[in-house]
Amino acid sequence: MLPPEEQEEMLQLCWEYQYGTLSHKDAARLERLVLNNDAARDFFIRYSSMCANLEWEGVVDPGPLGRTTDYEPLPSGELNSLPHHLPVFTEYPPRRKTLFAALAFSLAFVATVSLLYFQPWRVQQPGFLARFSQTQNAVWVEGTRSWNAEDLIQFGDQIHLSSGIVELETASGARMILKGKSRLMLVNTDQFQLDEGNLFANVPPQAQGLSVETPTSRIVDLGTRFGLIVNPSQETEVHVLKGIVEFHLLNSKRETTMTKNLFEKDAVRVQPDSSVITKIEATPECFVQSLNVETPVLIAHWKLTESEKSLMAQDHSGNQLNLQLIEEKGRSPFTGRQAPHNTATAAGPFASQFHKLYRRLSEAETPLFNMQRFTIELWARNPNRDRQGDSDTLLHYRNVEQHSTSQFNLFSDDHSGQLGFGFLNTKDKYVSHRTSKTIPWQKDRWYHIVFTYDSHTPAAHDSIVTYSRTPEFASAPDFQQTLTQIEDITPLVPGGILAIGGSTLTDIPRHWGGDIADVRFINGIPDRHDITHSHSKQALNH
Amino acid sequence: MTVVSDRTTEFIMLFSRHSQRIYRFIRSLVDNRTDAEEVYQNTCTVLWSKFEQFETGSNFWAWSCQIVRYEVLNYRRRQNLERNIFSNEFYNRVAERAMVTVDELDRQQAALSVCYELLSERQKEVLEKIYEPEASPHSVARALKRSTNAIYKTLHRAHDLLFSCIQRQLHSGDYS
Repeated sequence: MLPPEEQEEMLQLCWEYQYGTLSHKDAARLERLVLNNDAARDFFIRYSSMCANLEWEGVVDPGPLGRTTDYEPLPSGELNSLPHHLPVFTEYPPRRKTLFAALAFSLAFVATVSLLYFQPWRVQQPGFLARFSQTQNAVWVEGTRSWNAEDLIQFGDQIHLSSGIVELETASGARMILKGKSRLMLVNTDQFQLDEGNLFANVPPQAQGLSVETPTSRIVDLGTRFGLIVNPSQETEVHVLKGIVEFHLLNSKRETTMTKNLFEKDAVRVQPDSSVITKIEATPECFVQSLNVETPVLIAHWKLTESEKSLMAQDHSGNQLNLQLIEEKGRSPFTGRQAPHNTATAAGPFASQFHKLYRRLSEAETPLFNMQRFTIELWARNPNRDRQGDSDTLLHYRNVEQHSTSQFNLFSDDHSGQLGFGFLNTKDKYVSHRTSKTIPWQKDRWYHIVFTYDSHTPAAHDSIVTYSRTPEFASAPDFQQTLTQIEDITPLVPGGILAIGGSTLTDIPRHWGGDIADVRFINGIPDRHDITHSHSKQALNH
Repeated sequence: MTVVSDRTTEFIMLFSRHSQRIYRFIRSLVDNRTDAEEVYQNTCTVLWSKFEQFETGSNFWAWSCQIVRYEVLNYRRRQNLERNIFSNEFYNRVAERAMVTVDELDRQQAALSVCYELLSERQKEVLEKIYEPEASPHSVARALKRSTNAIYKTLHRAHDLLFSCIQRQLHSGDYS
């Protein structure tokens, strides 16, 4: 029982909570009372319950208060019969109609499905636990079983994918897509074990409870779409694309040490033998979500933090597009000439040699980059205007044996701050465009740059480009422009060099004068960037 | 066909008896009526769509509560962070307690009808209006030709009186 003063206070707080405006200070006070005092907790629940009982008349029964309060309290034990107090209504309020309409629809739907399900020609129990529904360029690890579409999977079956993409379907209707080098085992009904690889799961309501174990974690679906990445060092990442999953952190005895609900757009990473769950940015493009629909796919993601791992592209199916770095006195892979010394006083070089990065793209790798419809995202920081050159390159591709100019180039003009891009058109001519506005770069401030290119337009050479720049911590871009009537881009020629932050890597004036991080190349345009695109298209149509 | 019809009947029986409890449970976790009704409607749909998974003879109330908790989690996730004024622990503790005090809350429901009769006619009039669908203090103020502030004060006073009366009724043992 609460003392009178606290009762008075709780009465006021509960009222404010239910019908007024509870200040943050009062909310903190209410939370403290409820958490620390059983009587206060009961008080809060009883007050909420009273409000619910009063409101119930409005929710279900439109009559004046008290009209149906004559029925007996319900015991929580056995329930044997329909209640006698169910009222008969002649006129239903709109909310009640909505509720009944929803229920009626659900009943009709389930009845229809059930009717179909109980047809005699239907087999009531599927004769399998999971099956392969599709495969795409699948290569299996040597010495392991090669699976084909329609193959059935039983308990204990192991799937060792070397590269390519495969889709599985469980008997309960869940759909899972494995991408690239992956090891998956079916442990039990709707229970899987992923030792390595990239997995996307789309779990319909009837398959909720499906679980996937990784070396460090157990992920239990609560009705959702989620992605899992287990890299060779057994680090696990979980990305929730829709709904909720229950994430269990496991110790070496496979016992749960921590449980966390992850919601839509949440993503976490767990290192092996670690008790720390690190929150990371959810990246839907990491996962192939459908083999039938063209969805944005992350081809490469270079984090470019100051660790060795950051040189590795995070993802693509079986392809590791790791970057190489030029030593402080190394030679440019383009020209063979000495690269500029990586000193703080020189013009153009980065604060860290890790940022002088490149990769020669092989014949197999260049087709991965779809130059017809793509997105490039990166973060850039410009520490000092004095150290900039005339055309500061963010991302660049050039094959010096075939072309004297860039095949593709993203840059920013250091004098005007204008963003620009250039490319070889289909006639092998270099064309470049700049945004119209002068946009200064604040010293030491990070900016998020997003570039999209879309040639999936009605005619040739009427591609649409969007460029946007968003300052760190800002909720909206400080610059956004759409450019139209852009020519089509020639596909990348194999053997060229992809450089981040420099053109030829010896051409000091064209080095980006600051830092670059979190560079992503995405085939397609993710929804979050397509919004700009659609608005622009609408504007163009007017 | 028989199976479907039996299960449908079973669902209607269970749902009819528990629907108000379910709404009450939601209301202890959602701070306003409009959102609580939305969660309630979503919950009803999920309960029906998942009823196939419910094992006959097991505890429908406990099963419903689990679904409510997921629906409330979903709802909270959709809200702006600013509106999530309490911690997860707060909601978990309230939910756990509300689940086990269901009998007491049923008794409170019965006590409400007695206490309601003790209110003044003016208080009853305001309460009846305010709990009509889509009503707000502003609309009630307009309908009754009074100020919004006066409606708030009447509501506040009526809630205080009702709650105190219900507690006295329950402690008197008449509803145990």
